[in-house]
Amino acid sequence: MTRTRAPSQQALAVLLVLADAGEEWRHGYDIATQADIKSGTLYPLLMRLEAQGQLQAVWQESPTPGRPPRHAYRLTEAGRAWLAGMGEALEQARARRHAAQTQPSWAGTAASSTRSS
Amino acid sequence: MQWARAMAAELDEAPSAKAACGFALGCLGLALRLRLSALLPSSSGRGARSKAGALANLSGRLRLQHLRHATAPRLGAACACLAVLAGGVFMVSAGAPKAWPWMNGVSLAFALASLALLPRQRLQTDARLRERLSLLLGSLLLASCALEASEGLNGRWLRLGPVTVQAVWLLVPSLLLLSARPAGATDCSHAHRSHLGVLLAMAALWAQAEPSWLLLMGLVLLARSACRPHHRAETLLACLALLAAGLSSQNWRMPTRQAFVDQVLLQAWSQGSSLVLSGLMLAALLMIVLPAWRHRHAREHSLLWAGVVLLSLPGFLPTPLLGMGGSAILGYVLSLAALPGPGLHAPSRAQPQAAQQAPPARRERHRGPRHRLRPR
Repeated sequence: MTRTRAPSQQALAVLLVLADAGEEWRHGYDIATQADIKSGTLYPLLMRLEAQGQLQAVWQESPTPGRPPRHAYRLTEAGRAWLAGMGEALEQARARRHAAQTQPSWAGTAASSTRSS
Repeated sequence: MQWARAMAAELDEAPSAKAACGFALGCLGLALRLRLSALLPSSSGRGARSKAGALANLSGRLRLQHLRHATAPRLGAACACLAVLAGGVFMVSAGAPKAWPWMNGVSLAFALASLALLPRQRLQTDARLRERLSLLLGSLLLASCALEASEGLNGRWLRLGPVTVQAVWLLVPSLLLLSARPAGATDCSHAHRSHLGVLLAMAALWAQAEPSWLLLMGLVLLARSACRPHHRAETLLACLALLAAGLSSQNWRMPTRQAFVDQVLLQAWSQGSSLVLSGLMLAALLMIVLPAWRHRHAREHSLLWAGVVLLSLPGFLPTPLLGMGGSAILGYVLSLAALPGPGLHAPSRAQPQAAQQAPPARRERHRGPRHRLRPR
Protein backbone atom coordinates (compact mmCIF):
# COMPACT_ATOMS: atom_id res chain seq x y z
CA MET A 1 0.00 0.00 0.00
CA THR A 2 1.38 3.37 -0.99
CA ARG A 3 1.31 6.06 1.64
CA THR A 4 0.49 9.50 0.28
CA ARG A 5 2.41 12.27 1.98
CA ALA A 6 1.36 15.89 2.17
CA PRO A 7 2.66 17.45 -1.06
CA SER A 8 5.54 19.91 -0.97
CA GLN A 9 5.26 23.44 -2.33
CA GLN A 10 6.92 22.36 -5.56
CA ALA A 11 4.53 19.43 -5.90
CA LEU A 12 1.59 21.77 -5.29
CA ALA A 13 2.89 24.14 -7.96
CA VAL A 14 3.10 21.28 -10.47
CA LEU A 15 -0.33 19.99 -9.50
CA LEU A 16 -1.74 23.47 -9.89
CA VAL A 17 -0.39 23.78 -13.42
CA LEU A 18 -1.86 20.40 -14.30
CA ALA A 19 -5.17 21.21 -12.62
CA ASP A 20 -5.46 24.47 -14.55
CA ALA A 21 -4.79 22.58 -17.77
CA GLY A 22 -7.84 20.36 -17.14
CA GLU A 23 -8.11 17.70 -19.82
CA GLU A 24 -5.28 19.14 -21.88
CA TRP A 25 -1.91 17.41 -22.02
CA ARG A 26 1.09 19.39 -20.77
CA HIS A 27 4.77 18.83 -21.47
CA GLY A 28 7.67 18.81 -19.05
CA TYR A 29 9.32 22.04 -20.15
CA ASP A 30 6.03 23.97 -20.02
CA ILE A 31 5.25 22.65 -16.55
CA ALA A 32 8.73 23.55 -15.29
CA THR A 33 8.39 27.08 -16.70
CA GLN A 34 4.90 27.68 -15.37
CA ALA A 35 5.50 26.13 -11.98
CA ASP A 36 8.88 27.91 -11.85
CA ILE A 37 10.81 24.87 -10.74
CA LYS A 38 13.95 23.28 -12.10
CA SER A 39 13.99 20.15 -14.23
CA GLY A 40 15.88 18.23 -11.55
CA THR A 41 12.98 18.86 -9.18
CA LEU A 42 10.18 18.44 -11.69
CA TYR A 43 10.88 14.96 -12.99
CA PRO A 44 11.13 13.17 -9.63
CA LEU A 45 7.73 14.72 -8.82
CA LEU A 46 6.26 13.56 -12.11
CA MET A 47 7.69 10.09 -11.60
CA ARG A 48 6.21 9.85 -8.11
CA LEU A 49 2.83 11.22 -9.10
CA GLU A 50 2.62 8.80 -12.00
CA ALA A 51 3.63 5.89 -9.76
CA GLN A 52 0.90 6.89 -7.31
CA GLY A 53 -1.66 6.95 -10.11
CA GLN A 54 -2.44 10.64 -9.80
CA LEU A 55 -0.95 11.45 -13.13
CA GLN A 56 -1.06 9.82 -16.51
CA ALA A 57 1.63 10.15 -19.13
CA VAL A 58 1.62 9.46 -22.86
CA TRP A 59 4.05 9.84 -25.73
CA GLN A 60 2.95 12.38 -28.32
CA GLU A 61 4.42 12.83 -31.76
CA SER A 62 5.96 16.26 -32.20
CA PRO A 63 4.21 18.45 -34.83
CA THR A 64 7.65 19.62 -35.97
CA PRO A 65 9.19 17.10 -38.36
CA GLY A 66 12.46 15.56 -37.20
CA ARG A 67 11.87 16.16 -33.53
CA PRO A 68 11.48 13.26 -31.11
CA PRO A 69 8.13 12.37 -29.52
CA ARG A 70 7.39 14.21 -26.29
CA HIS A 71 6.10 12.96 -22.99
CA ALA A 72 2.83 14.64 -22.05
CA TYR A 73 1.08 14.61 -18.70
CA ARG A 74 -2.33 15.27 -17.21
CA LEU A 75 -4.12 14.49 -13.96
CA THR A 76 -6.14 11.32 -13.62
CA GLU A 77 -9.56 11.23 -12.00
CA ALA A 78 -7.92 10.01 -8.82
CA GLY A 79 -5.47 12.89 -9.01
CA ARG A 80 -8.24 15.43 -9.41
CA ALA A 81 -10.14 13.97 -6.48
CA TRP A 82 -7.00 14.01 -4.35
CA LEU A 83 -6.36 17.62 -5.33
CA ALA A 84 -9.94 18.63 -4.57
CA GLY A 85 -9.52 17.22 -1.07
CA MET A 86 -6.62 19.53 -0.33
CA GLY A 87 -8.74 22.64 -0.09
CA GLU A 88 -6.85 25.29 1.80
CA ALA A 89 -3.33 24.14 0.90
CA LEU A 90 -4.22 24.38 -2.77
CA GLU A 91 -5.68 27.83 -2.36
CA GLN A 92 -2.54 28.99 -0.58
CA ALA A 93 -0.38 27.63 -3.37
CA ARG A 94 -2.58 29.40 -5.91
CA ALA A 95 -2.23 32.65 -3.97
CA ARG A 96 1.55 32.28 -3.82
CA ARG A 97 1.70 31.66 -7.53
CA HIS A 98 -0.48 34.66 -8.23
CA ALA A 99 1.67 36.87 -5.99
CA ALA A 100 4.82 35.66 -7.68
CA GLN A 101 3.40 36.43 -11.11
CA THR A 102 2.24 39.92 -10.21
CA GLN A 103 5.23 41.07 -8.14
CA PRO A 104 7.92 42.47 -10.47
CA SER A 105 11.52 41.83 -9.57
CA TRP A 106 14.41 44.29 -10.08
CA ALA A 107 15.12 42.69 -13.42
CA GLY A 108 11.58 43.32 -14.55
CA THR A 109 10.63 39.69 -14.59
CA ALA A 110 8.29 37.84 -12.32
CA ALA A 111 9.88 37.06 -9.00
CA SER A 112 9.97 33.51 -7.89
CA SER A 113 8.56 32.36 -4.61
CA THR A 114 8.41 28.69 -5.35
CA ARG A 115 11.86 28.24 -6.85
CA SER A 116 13.53 25.15 -5.57
CA SER A 117 16.93 25.37 -3.95
CA MET B 1 15.09 5.06 -19.76
CA GLN B 2 11.63 6.30 -20.62
CA TRP B 3 12.09 9.31 -18.36
CA ALA B 4 15.53 10.04 -19.78
CA ARG B 5 14.02 10.12 -23.28
CA ALA B 6 11.23 12.35 -22.00
CA MET B 7 13.75 14.82 -20.59
CA ALA B 8 15.90 14.78 -23.72
CA ALA B 9 12.89 15.48 -25.95
CA GLU B 10 12.10 18.65 -24.00
CA LEU B 11 15.46 20.22 -24.78
CA ASP B 12 14.34 21.00 -28.33
CA GLU B 13 11.48 23.08 -26.98
CA ALA B 14 13.64 25.43 -24.92
CA PRO B 15 13.53 28.93 -26.45
CA SER B 16 17.24 29.65 -25.97
CA ALA B 17 20.53 27.83 -25.58
CA LYS B 18 20.81 29.14 -22.01
CA ALA B 19 17.40 27.79 -21.06
CA ALA B 20 18.19 24.44 -22.69
CA CYS B 21 21.51 24.30 -20.85
CA GLY B 22 19.84 25.01 -17.49
CA PHE B 23 17.19 22.36 -18.15
CA ALA B 24 19.83 19.82 -19.23
CA LEU B 25 21.98 20.48 -16.17
CA GLY B 26 19.01 19.89 -13.89
CA CYS B 27 18.30 16.62 -15.69
CA LEU B 28 21.95 15.60 -15.44
CA GLY B 29 21.94 16.23 -11.70
CA LEU B 30 18.82 14.12 -11.39
CA ALA B 31 20.35 11.31 -13.46
CA LEU B 32 23.45 11.29 -11.24
CA ARG B 33 21.30 11.17 -8.10
CA LEU B 34 19.26 8.28 -9.46
CA ARG B 35 22.41 6.43 -10.52
CA LEU B 36 23.91 6.89 -7.08
CA SER B 37 20.82 5.57 -5.37
CA ALA B 38 20.79 2.60 -7.76
CA LEU B 39 24.40 1.84 -6.81
CA LEU B 40 23.49 1.73 -3.16
CA PRO B 41 21.12 -1.22 -2.82
CA SER B 42 20.30 -0.54 0.81
CA SER B 43 19.09 2.92 -0.04
CA SER B 44 16.23 1.70 -2.21
CA GLY B 45 12.75 1.98 -0.90
CA ARG B 46 10.85 4.60 0.92
CA GLY B 47 13.67 5.73 3.19
CA ALA B 48 15.79 6.76 0.25
CA ARG B 49 13.20 9.17 -0.99
CA SER B 50 14.11 11.68 1.66
CA LYS B 51 17.46 13.40 1.44
CA ALA B 52 18.22 12.59 5.05
CA GLY B 53 17.53 8.92 4.47
CA ALA B 54 19.74 8.83 1.40
CA LEU B 55 22.56 10.57 3.21
CA ALA B 56 22.25 8.24 6.18
CA ASN B 57 22.45 5.27 3.86
CA LEU B 58 25.40 6.79 2.04
CA SER B 59 27.33 7.34 5.25
CA GLY B 60 26.48 3.82 6.27
CA ARG B 61 27.98 2.52 3.05
CA LEU B 62 31.14 4.56 3.51
CA ARG B 63 32.03 2.97 6.80
CA LEU B 64 35.65 2.19 7.49
CA GLN B 65 34.92 -1.48 7.08
CA HIS B 66 34.12 -0.93 3.43
CA LEU B 67 37.26 1.10 2.91
CA ARG B 68 39.28 -1.73 4.40
CA HIS B 69 38.16 -4.14 1.72
CA ALA B 70 38.40 -1.65 -1.14
CA THR B 71 40.98 -2.26 -3.82
CA ALA B 72 44.02 0.00 -3.81
CA PRO B 73 42.82 2.21 -6.70
CA ARG B 74 39.40 2.65 -5.06
CA LEU B 75 40.93 3.40 -1.69
CA GLY B 76 43.34 5.83 -3.32
CA ALA B 77 40.51 7.48 -5.24
CA ALA B 78 38.50 7.85 -2.03
CA CYS B 79 41.53 9.37 -0.30
CA ALA B 80 42.03 11.76 -3.23
CA CYS B 81 38.38 12.85 -2.99
CA LEU B 82 38.69 13.54 0.73
CA ALA B 83 41.99 15.38 0.30
CA VAL B 84 40.65 17.56 -2.52
CA LEU B 85 37.53 18.23 -0.47
CA ALA B 86 39.63 19.26 2.53
CA GLY B 87 41.72 21.49 0.29
CA GLY B 88 38.55 23.04 -1.11
CA VAL B 89 37.22 23.72 2.40
CA PHE B 90 40.48 25.42 3.27
CA MET B 91 40.49 27.51 0.11
CA VAL B 92 36.92 28.66 0.65
CA SER B 93 37.49 29.49 4.31
CA ALA B 94 40.83 31.22 3.72
CA GLY B 95 39.61 33.44 0.89
CA ALA B 96 41.14 31.85 -2.20
CA PRO B 97 39.69 32.83 -5.59
CA LYS B 98 36.26 31.28 -5.82
CA ALA B 99 36.99 29.37 -9.00
CA TRP B 100 39.97 27.48 -7.60
CA PRO B 101 38.16 24.86 -5.49
CA TRP B 102 35.84 24.25 -8.43
CA MET B 103 38.77 23.85 -10.80
CA ASN B 104 40.28 21.27 -8.48
CA GLY B 105 36.91 19.55 -8.32
CA VAL B 106 36.62 19.43 -12.10
CA SER B 107 40.17 18.04 -12.34
CA LEU B 108 39.27 15.38 -9.79
CA ALA B 109 36.10 14.45 -11.68
CA PHE B 110 38.05 14.18 -14.91
CA ALA B 111 40.75 12.11 -13.23
CA LEU B 112 38.22 9.75 -11.63
CA ALA B 113 36.39 9.32 -14.93
CA SER B 114 39.70 8.51 -16.63
CA LEU B 115 40.58 6.04 -13.88
CA ALA B 116 37.22 4.35 -14.31
CA LEU B 117 37.64 4.10 -18.07
CA LEU B 118 41.22 2.84 -18.07
CA PRO B 119 41.64 -0.95 -18.40
CA ARG B 120 43.07 -1.29 -14.90
CA GLN B 121 43.11 -5.06 -14.79
CA ARG B 122 45.09 -5.30 -17.99
CA LEU B 123 47.43 -2.57 -16.86
CA GLN B 124 48.06 -4.52 -13.66
CA THR B 125 48.59 -7.89 -15.23
CA ASP B 126 50.08 -7.34 -18.69
CA ALA B 127 53.82 -6.90 -18.11
CA ARG B 128 54.53 -6.18 -21.76
CA LEU B 129 51.90 -3.45 -21.90
CA ARG B 130 53.37 -1.88 -18.79
CA GLU B 131 56.84 -1.86 -20.35
CA ARG B 132 55.60 -0.35 -23.59
CA LEU B 133 53.69 2.32 -21.72
CA SER B 134 56.78 3.11 -19.63
CA LEU B 135 58.72 3.67 -22.81
CA LEU B 136 55.92 5.76 -24.30
CA LEU B 137 55.57 7.95 -21.22
CA GLY B 138 59.34 8.40 -21.03
CA SER B 139 59.39 9.47 -24.67
CA LEU B 140 56.50 11.87 -24.12
CA LEU B 141 58.25 13.41 -21.17
CA LEU B 142 61.38 13.90 -23.22
CA ALA B 143 59.31 15.39 -26.02
CA SER B 144 57.78 17.83 -23.53
CA CYS B 145 61.23 19.43 -23.23
CA ALA B 146 60.53 20.97 -26.62
CA LEU B 147 57.73 23.03 -25.07
CA GLU B 148 58.56 26.57 -24.22
CA ALA B 149 59.40 27.17 -20.57
CA SER B 150 57.04 29.53 -18.76
CA GLU B 151 58.74 32.43 -17.10
CA GLY B 152 58.86 32.16 -13.33
CA LEU B 153 57.50 28.61 -13.36
CA ASN B 154 59.31 25.30 -13.11
CA GLY B 155 58.79 22.51 -15.59
CA ARG B 156 57.01 22.58 -18.92
CA TRP B 157 53.34 23.41 -19.25
CA LEU B 158 51.22 21.75 -21.87
CA ARG B 159 48.22 23.68 -23.17
CA LEU B 160 45.16 21.50 -23.83
CA GLY B 161 42.60 24.05 -24.94
CA PRO B 162 41.59 26.11 -21.92
CA VAL B 163 43.46 23.80 -19.55
CA THR B 164 47.19 23.91 -18.84
CA VAL B 165 48.84 20.88 -17.28
CA GLN B 166 52.35 20.20 -16.10
CA ALA B 167 53.72 17.23 -17.99
CA VAL B 168 56.03 16.12 -15.19
CA TRP B 169 53.23 15.72 -12.62
CA LEU B 170 51.08 13.95 -15.16
CA LEU B 171 53.62 11.48 -16.49
CA VAL B 172 56.35 10.76 -13.93
CA PRO B 173 54.26 9.05 -11.20
CA SER B 174 52.55 6.74 -13.69
CA LEU B 175 55.80 6.01 -15.52
CA LEU B 176 57.62 5.16 -12.33
CA LEU B 177 54.90 2.77 -11.19
CA LEU B 178 54.49 1.22 -14.62
CA SER B 179 58.20 0.47 -14.69
CA ALA B 180 57.77 -1.80 -11.66
CA ARG B 181 57.59 -5.39 -12.75
CA PRO B 182 54.57 -7.13 -11.27
CA ALA B 183 55.46 -9.76 -8.67
CA GLY B 184 55.30 -13.21 -10.19
CA ALA B 185 56.02 -12.03 -13.72
CA THR B 186 58.65 -14.35 -15.10
CA ASP B 187 59.29 -13.00 -18.59
CA CYS B 188 62.02 -10.35 -18.23
CA SER B 189 62.98 -10.29 -21.90
CA HIS B 190 61.42 -6.87 -22.51
CA ALA B 191 62.38 -5.23 -19.23
CA HIS B 192 64.87 -3.07 -21.09
CA ARG B 193 61.94 -1.12 -22.53
CA SER B 194 60.83 0.09 -19.14
CA HIS B 195 64.43 0.80 -18.15
CA LEU B 196 64.81 2.86 -21.31
CA GLY B 197 61.60 4.70 -20.47
CA VAL B 198 62.97 5.56 -17.03
CA LEU B 199 66.24 6.70 -18.58
CA LEU B 200 64.41 8.97 -21.02
CA ALA B 201 62.40 10.39 -18.14
CA MET B 202 65.59 11.07 -16.22
CA ALA B 203 67.04 12.90 -19.21
CA ALA B 204 63.87 14.96 -19.49
CA LEU B 205 63.84 15.81 -15.79
CA TRP B 206 67.49 16.76 -15.94
CA ALA B 207 66.85 18.96 -18.97
CA GLN B 208 63.92 20.62 -17.21
CA ALA B 209 65.93 21.09 -14.01
CA GLU B 210 63.63 19.07 -11.76
CA PRO B 211 65.94 17.77 -9.00
CA SER B 212 63.03 17.08 -6.66
CA TRP B 213 61.44 14.61 -9.04
CA LEU B 214 64.83 13.05 -9.83
CA LEU B 215 65.44 12.63 -6.12
CA LEU B 216 62.06 10.97 -5.66
CA MET B 217 62.68 8.75 -8.65
CA GLY B 218 66.03 7.72 -7.26
CA LEU B 219 64.59 6.94 -3.84
CA VAL B 220 61.74 4.85 -5.24
CA LEU B 221 64.12 2.92 -7.50
CA LEU B 222 66.49 2.43 -4.59
CA ALA B 223 63.67 1.05 -2.45
CA ARG B 224 62.65 -1.23 -5.30
CA SER B 225 66.16 -2.51 -5.81
CA ALA B 226 66.47 -3.14 -2.06
CA CYS B 227 63.40 -5.39 -2.22
CA ARG B 228 64.76 -7.22 -5.27
CA PRO B 229 68.51 -7.44 -4.85
CA HIS B 230 68.95 -9.52 -7.99
CA HIS B 231 67.62 -6.67 -10.17
CA ARG B 232 70.90 -4.84 -10.67
CA ALA B 233 69.56 -2.60 -13.42
CA GLU B 234 67.25 -0.87 -10.97
CA THR B 235 70.10 -0.20 -8.57
CA LEU B 236 72.04 1.36 -11.42
CA LEU B 237 69.05 3.45 -12.47
CA ALA B 238 68.57 4.61 -8.88
CA CYS B 239 72.18 5.74 -8.68
CA LEU B 240 71.86 7.54 -12.02
CA ALA B 241 68.69 9.32 -10.87
CA LEU B 242 70.33 10.49 -7.66
CA LEU B 243 73.38 11.65 -9.58
CA ALA B 244 71.18 13.54 -12.03
CA ALA B 245 69.31 15.07 -9.08
CA GLY B 246 72.57 16.38 -7.71
CA LEU B 247 73.63 17.75 -11.07
CA SER B 248 70.34 19.42 -11.90
CA SER B 249 70.13 21.03 -8.47
CA GLN B 250 72.95 23.30 -9.66
CA ASN B 251 70.56 24.91 -12.16
CA TRP B 252 67.49 24.82 -9.97
CA ARG B 253 65.94 27.88 -8.41
CA MET B 254 63.45 27.86 -5.57
CA PRO B 255 60.03 28.65 -7.09
CA THR B 256 58.26 31.83 -6.00
CA ARG B 257 55.82 30.96 -3.26
CA GLN B 258 52.19 31.17 -4.31
CA ALA B 259 49.35 31.27 -1.83
CA PHE B 260 47.04 28.21 -1.94
CA VAL B 261 49.55 26.39 -4.17
CA ASP B 262 52.78 26.09 -2.20
CA GLN B 263 53.23 25.28 1.48
CA VAL B 264 49.50 25.02 2.02
CA LEU B 265 49.85 23.33 5.41
CA LEU B 266 52.12 26.11 6.65
CA GLN B 267 49.70 28.66 5.27
CA ALA B 268 46.80 27.02 7.11
CA TRP B 269 48.82 27.11 10.30
CA SER B 270 50.18 30.63 10.00
CA GLN B 271 47.01 32.33 8.83
CA GLY B 272 45.48 31.85 12.23
CA SER B 273 43.01 29.37 10.82
CA SER B 274 41.27 27.27 13.39
CA LEU B 275 43.09 24.33 14.85
CA VAL B 276 40.42 22.06 13.44
CA LEU B 277 41.15 23.26 9.91
CA SER B 278 44.88 22.81 10.34
CA GLY B 279 44.28 19.32 11.71
CA LEU B 280 42.03 18.60 8.78
CA MET B 281 44.74 19.63 6.35
CA LEU B 282 47.33 17.49 8.11
CA ALA B 283 44.96 14.52 8.09
CA ALA B 284 44.29 15.07 4.40
CA LEU B 285 48.00 15.10 3.64
CA LEU B 286 48.45 11.85 5.52
CA MET B 287 45.49 10.41 3.68
CA ILE B 288 47.40 10.70 0.43
CA VAL B 289 49.65 7.87 1.54
CA LEU B 290 46.87 5.72 2.97
CA PRO B 291 46.65 3.08 0.17
CA ALA B 292 49.90 1.45 1.32
CA TRP B 293 48.37 0.86 4.76
CA ARG B 294 46.03 -1.76 3.32
CA HIS B 295 47.82 -2.90 0.17
CA ARG B 296 51.42 -3.95 -0.08
CA HIS B 297 51.48 -3.52 -3.82
CA ALA B 298 50.67 0.18 -3.35
CA ARG B 299 53.80 0.80 -1.28
CA GLU B 300 55.72 2.43 -4.11
CA HIS B 301 52.78 4.69 -4.89
CA SER B 302 52.57 5.81 -1.30
CA LEU B 303 56.34 6.12 -1.00
CA LEU B 304 56.45 8.37 -4.05
CA TRP B 305 53.57 10.57 -2.88
CA ALA B 306 54.89 10.66 0.67
CA GLY B 307 58.09 12.04 -0.84
CA VAL B 308 56.09 14.62 -2.81
CA VAL B 309 54.24 15.63 0.36
CA LEU B 310 57.51 15.87 2.26
CA LEU B 311 59.15 18.04 -0.41
CA SER B 312 56.04 20.20 -0.57
CA LEU B 313 56.35 21.14 3.11
CA PRO B 314 59.40 23.39 2.63
CA GLY B 315 58.04 24.50 -0.76
CA PHE B 316 60.30 22.56 -3.13
CA LEU B 317 57.17 21.24 -4.81
CA PRO B 318 53.56 22.51 -4.79
CA THR B 319 51.30 20.87 -2.22
CA PRO B 320 49.55 18.02 -4.03
CA LEU B 321 45.74 17.70 -3.94
CA LEU B 322 45.23 20.20 -1.12
CA GLY B 323 46.56 23.18 -3.04
CA MET B 324 45.37 24.57 -6.32
CA GLY B 325 46.65 22.40 -9.17
CA GLY B 326 44.90 19.95 -11.43
CA SER B 327 48.12 18.33 -12.63
CA ALA B 328 48.88 16.88 -9.20
CA ILE B 329 45.32 15.55 -8.89
CA LEU B 330 45.49 13.95 -12.31
CA GLY B 331 48.95 12.56 -11.58
CA TYR B 332 47.88 11.05 -8.26
CA VAL B 333 44.67 9.46 -9.50
CA LEU B 334 46.04 8.22 -12.83
CA SER B 335 49.06 6.67 -11.13
CA LEU B 336 46.62 4.50 -9.16
CA ALA B 337 45.85 2.73 -12.43
CA ALA B 338 49.56 1.99 -12.86
CA LEU B 339 49.87 -0.02 -9.66
CA PRO B 340 51.14 -3.55 -10.19
CA GLY B 341 48.38 -6.06 -9.55
CA PRO B 342 48.16 -7.79 -6.18
CA GLY B 343 47.06 -11.10 -7.67
CA LEU B 344 50.30 -11.60 -9.53
CA HIS B 345 52.23 -12.97 -6.59
CA ALA B 346 53.06 -16.51 -7.56
CA PRO B 347 51.44 -18.87 -5.05
CA SER B 348 53.81 -21.18 -3.27
CA ARG B 349 53.81 -24.84 -4.26
CA ALA B 350 52.87 -25.94 -0.76
CA GLN B 351 49.45 -24.28 -0.78
CA PRO B 352 48.36 -23.29 -4.26
CA GLN B 353 44.65 -23.86 -3.56
CA ALA B 354 44.62 -21.96 -0.29
CA ALA B 355 46.38 -19.08 -1.98
CA GLN B 356 43.81 -19.00 -4.76
CA GLN B 357 40.86 -19.11 -2.39
CA ALA B 358 41.97 -16.38 -0.04
CA PRO B 359 41.18 -12.75 -0.92
CA PRO B 360 44.20 -11.01 -2.47
CA ALA B 361 44.74 -8.46 0.29
CA ARG B 362 44.68 -11.08 3.04
CA ARG B 363 46.76 -13.51 1.03
CA GLU B 364 49.64 -11.12 0.67
CA ARG B 365 49.54 -10.02 4.29
CA HIS B 366 49.35 -13.37 6.06
CA ARG B 367 51.20 -15.68 3.74
CA GLY B 368 54.29 -16.13 5.91
CA PRO B 369 52.90 -16.60 9.43
CA ARG B 370 49.99 -18.82 8.28
CA HIS B 371 52.36 -21.09 6.47
CA ARG B 372 54.52 -21.52 9.50
CA LEU B 373 51.64 -22.10 11.90
CA ARG B 374 49.78 -24.61 9.77
CA PRO B 375 50.29 -28.19 11.01
CA ARG B 376 51.84 -30.50 8.44
